[in-house]
Amino acid sequence: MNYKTLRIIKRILLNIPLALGSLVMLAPLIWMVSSAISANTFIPLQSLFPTGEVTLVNFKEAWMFPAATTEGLTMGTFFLNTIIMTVCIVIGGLLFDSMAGYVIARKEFPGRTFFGFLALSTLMVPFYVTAIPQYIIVKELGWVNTLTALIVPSLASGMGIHLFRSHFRSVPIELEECAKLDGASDFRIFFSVMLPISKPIIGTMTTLKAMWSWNQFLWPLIVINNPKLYTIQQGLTFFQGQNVTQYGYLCAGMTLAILPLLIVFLVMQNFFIGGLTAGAVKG
Amino acid sequence: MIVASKRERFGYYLFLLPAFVVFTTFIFGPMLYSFYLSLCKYSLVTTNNPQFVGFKNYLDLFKNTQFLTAVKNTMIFTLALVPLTLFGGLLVAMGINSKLIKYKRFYKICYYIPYVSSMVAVSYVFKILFSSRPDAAMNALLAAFGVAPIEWLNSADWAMIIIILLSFWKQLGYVMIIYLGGLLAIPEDVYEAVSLDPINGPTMLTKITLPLLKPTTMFLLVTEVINSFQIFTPVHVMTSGGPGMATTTLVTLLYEKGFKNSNMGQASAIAVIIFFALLLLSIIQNNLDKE
Amino acid sequence: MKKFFALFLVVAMVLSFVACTPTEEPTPTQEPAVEGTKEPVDTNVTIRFWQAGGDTADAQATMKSLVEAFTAETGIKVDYQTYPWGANPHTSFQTAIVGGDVADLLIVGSPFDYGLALEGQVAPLDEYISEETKADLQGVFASEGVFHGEGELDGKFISMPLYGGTRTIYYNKAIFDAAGVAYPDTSWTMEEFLENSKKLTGEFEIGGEKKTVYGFATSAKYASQYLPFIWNFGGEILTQDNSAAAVNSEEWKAGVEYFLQFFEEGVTPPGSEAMDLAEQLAMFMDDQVAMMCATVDYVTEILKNEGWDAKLGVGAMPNNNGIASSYVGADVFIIPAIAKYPAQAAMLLEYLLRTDSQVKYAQVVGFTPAVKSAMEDPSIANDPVQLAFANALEDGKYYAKVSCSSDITTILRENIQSLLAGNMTLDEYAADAEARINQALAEAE
Repeated sequence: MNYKTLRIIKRILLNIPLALGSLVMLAPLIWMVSSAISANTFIPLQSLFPTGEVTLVNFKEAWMFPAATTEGLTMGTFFLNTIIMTVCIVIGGLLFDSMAGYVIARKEFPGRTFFGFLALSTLMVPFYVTAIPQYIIVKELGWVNTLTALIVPSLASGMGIHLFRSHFRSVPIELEECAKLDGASDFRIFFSVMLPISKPIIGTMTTLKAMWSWNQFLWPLIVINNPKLYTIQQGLTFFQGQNVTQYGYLCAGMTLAILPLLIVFLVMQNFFIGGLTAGAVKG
Repeated sequence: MIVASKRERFGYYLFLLPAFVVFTTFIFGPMLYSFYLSLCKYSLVTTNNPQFVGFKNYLDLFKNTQFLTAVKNTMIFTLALVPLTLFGGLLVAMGINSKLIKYKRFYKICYYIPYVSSMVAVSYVFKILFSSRPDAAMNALLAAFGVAPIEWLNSADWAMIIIILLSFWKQLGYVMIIYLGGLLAIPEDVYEAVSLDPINGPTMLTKITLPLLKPTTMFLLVTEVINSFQIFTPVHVMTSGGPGMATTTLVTLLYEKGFKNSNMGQASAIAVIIFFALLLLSIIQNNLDKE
Repeated sequence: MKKFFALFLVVAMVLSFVACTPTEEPTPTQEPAVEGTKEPVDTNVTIRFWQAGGDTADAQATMKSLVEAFTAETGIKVDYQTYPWGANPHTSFQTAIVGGDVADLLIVGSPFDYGLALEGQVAPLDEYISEETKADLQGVFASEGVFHGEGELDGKFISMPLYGGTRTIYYNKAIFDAAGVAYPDTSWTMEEFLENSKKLTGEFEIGGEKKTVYGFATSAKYASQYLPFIWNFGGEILTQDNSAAAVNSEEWKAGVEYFLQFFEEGVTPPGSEAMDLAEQLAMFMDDQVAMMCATVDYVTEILKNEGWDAKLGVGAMPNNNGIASSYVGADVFIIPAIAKYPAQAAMLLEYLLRTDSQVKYAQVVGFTPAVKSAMEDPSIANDPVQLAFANALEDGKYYAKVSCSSDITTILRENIQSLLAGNMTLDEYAADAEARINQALAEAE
C-alpha cells in the first residue's frame, strides 16, 4: 500500500465519524423543521424528513397565534422587540466590555487585579439569585414594562470583559507606545488604534451577546408583562398552553424562535469563528 | 508598561465606570441584598419588611430531603456533563483540525448550530422527541430496531440522562470551537520540531498537545462547571424536577421556593450556597492552575 | 476612526431613545372611592383588568366583548389584558404587587387568591358586592370565597369565581362501541370504572384503523387526577383545622392504592407517572385513549375538531358508596389591596357575574357558570356537557388552602412518583409525605 492510498483511507476513516456526528447534531433541528412543514397532527412525526405533503400553514397559524390574547398582535411584534433589545445589548455591551477589558489588560493602576476579579466573579452569580432585588431596582427606576429594563442589566458581562482582556493582552505594546508618542489620549488610542485591530474578537462577542440576549427567558418573564413588549422567547409561552396538542403547530413556533438567530450566525460565521480562534482563551 | 500620570489614571477609571455601574446596580447590589434576605423570612407578595431569622433558612434546608437530593443531582449532572463535553469537544476539535479534513467550515457549523439555538425551544423539541408515547419519534426509531418503547423523560431512570444528553448536545459546539482556537494557537514549528524525532501519535498528544492546551482546558473547566451548576431551563421545560425528585437541581429548587412558594428567604439561602460552592471551586482551580 | 465615532453616536442615540420610551402610565391619580358606601363612583376613569389564563382565542374575545359592553353601560374604560398560563402569570402578578403597580381587578387561579389574602394583599369584597349576587352564587362557591385566617380579612369574601372549573370524566364513544362497553351513567362505582378501563384497554379497530388503546389516561403529575378517588375513601390532605398533614391515614392509603391499580393493570399509557395532560389529550384525539378526566375547556377544544360531536361523551366521576367527589379549581376574581379603583373594579366584577354575562361566557368558553340563575338559561340547562360538569360541581372539593399549598403539591407529586417507581412502599410513602408536609407547614409558620 503506498502512501497515497493510506492517506485516502485515513481521510475516509476520519470523515465518517465526523459526518455521522454532524448528522446527529443536526437531527433534532431537522426533525423540528420537518414537523413544522408537515400536516398538523396529534402524532409526533416519526421520521426525520416529512413523509406527507409539505405545507407552510403551521407557520402562518403560529405567526398569528398571539392575536388570541391581544388584538392585532403577531409574532412580528415579538420579533421587533427582540431585535431592538438585541441590537442595543450588542452595541452597548461591546462598548462597555471592551473599554473595561482594555484598561484591565493594559494599564497599571490601583485595584486593577481587583476589578478583573470582580468582573470574573459576576460569572459565578446565578441570575436567579439576584432576580428579585433586580426587579425591585428596575421598579424603582420606573423601567417595568419597558425594553430598557431588558437592555440595561445586560450591558456589561464578565465574560465579555474577560475575553476582551485576553485579546488586548496579546496586542503588541509597540502599537500603543507609538500612538502615545504621537501625543494621542487614551480615549483616542482606544478608539482609533485598539478597537480597529479587534475586529475578530468583536465578531465573536457580537455573536455571543446576540445569542445571550436573543435567548434570555426568565428576566423578560419578570419585568415585561405587557404582551405588546414580549420577546420572542416569552412569545413561545403562548405555545405551551395546556390545550396546544398539535405537534406541527408547536414545532412551527419553535422554528420561528430559532431560525432568525441561526441565519445571523450562518451569515456571520466566518467573522465569528475567526474571532474565537484568535486567542480568545489565553488565561 | 507605560507609567501613567494621575490624570491618566483617573481616565482609566472612566473606562471602567460604565461596566461597573451596571455590575454594581444589577449584580453586586442585588447579591448583597440576597445575602441579607437569606437570613430573613421574606415573602414575595408581602409588603412587610423582611424579618431577621438568623440561620433558620439554612438549617431548614439541610433538613430537607429535596435540597439534599438537589445537591446530589446537581453534582451528578456536573460530574457527568463537564468531562463528557470537554472530552467530546476536544475529540471533535482535533478531528476537524486534522489536515486530512477538507470541509472544516461545514463541520464547524454543524457542530456549532445547537449552541446558537434557543434553550427553551430545543428543550421543547427534545420533550416531544423523548416522549413516552409508544408512537413518538425516539420510540418509533427504537421500534424500527425491534426495541421496546422506553418511558424516557417520564421515567426516573432516564430523565436525568436525557437532560445530560440535551446539555451535551447543546454545549459540544462551544467547547469544540474554543478548543479549536487553542489548537490553532499552537505554533506549527512545535510539531515540526518534534516530528524530527521518532514520536508516535498518542505520545505527541499527551506530551505536546494536551499540555499546551492546558490554559484552554482550565478556562473551559471553570466556565462549564459554572454553567452546569446553574442548569435550569431544560429541567423547567421538560420535567419540572420530576419524576419524583429525579431531576430536581439547585436552581430549579431555588425557582420553586422563591417564585412559586414566595419563600424568598430560603431561595436566597440556596443562592448563597451556590455562590460559595462556585467560589470555592474557582479558588481550588486557581491554585491548581498555579502549580 | 470616524467609523467608530459614528458607531458610538448611534449607540448613544439608540440607548437614549430606548431610555426615553415612556412607561405606560396609569391615568392620573384619583382618590379611591370611600369603601362600603353606595355613593356614586367616579366613572370617568380607566381601570386595568388582568386575567391569568384565558389563552384560548374564544375566551379572550368573549371576555373582551363583555368588557366593551360594560364600558358602554357605565362609561368606565377598561384596559384588559390576558396572561397565558405558560408565561407564569402568578409570578408576574406577584412581582407587580411587590412593585406596587398592579391592575385593579385580577383573575387568578385558586388557591393563589388565598395565598395573597394570607399576606393581606387582597381587598375584602363584602362591601362592594350586592347581596343578590352573593346569594346567586352556586352552592360550592358560597363558602369557598370566604377567608379563614388571622387579621381583618377573617370571615370576609376575598374572591369570587368567574366560573365553575371542575373536572369530570369524558370518553370516546367509538372505543366504547368497539370494546362493547356500555356508556357510563352517573351511577357507576369505582370498581365498575376500573373494570371498564381494563376492558377498554387493548387492540381495537377504530374507524377502520387498528389502534392500541389505553382505557383511562391519567397522570401522577397532577394531584387533581387522583385526589377525587382519595376523597371518595374519606382521605384528606390536611386535618380539619389545616394544622397538620392527614395523609398517613388508612383512607388516604386506600385511595392511593386504588389509583395505583391503573398503573399496575397497564390501563394508563406508559409514562403516566409524569406525563403531561396535553400529551394524553393528543393521544385521546388520535383514538388511543378511551377516557380522561379534565376540565371543560379540554372538551371545548376537542369539539372544535371534525367528527367529535358524535364521538365525544361526557360522563360522571365514579362513586364509592355514593360519594363521587370531583376536583374544583376555579379561576377567581380578586381586587388587590393596593388597587387604585377598587369600587370601579367591583362594578366590573359584578357585571361579569350577571346572568347574561355568565350565560354568554359559558356558551362560548364552555365553563360552568358561577351563578345559579345562569344555569336556568335554556342554552345551558339543555346542554348535556354543561349539565355533566354542573353535576360534578355539586360534589366539588377544593385543594388544601394554606400558604404552603404549592409546597404540598410538590411533595405529593414527588412522593407518589417515587412510590410508582418502586422506591418506597405505600406505608413509607404515606409516612414520608406526612413528615414532609408537616415540615412545610412548620416552615411556613
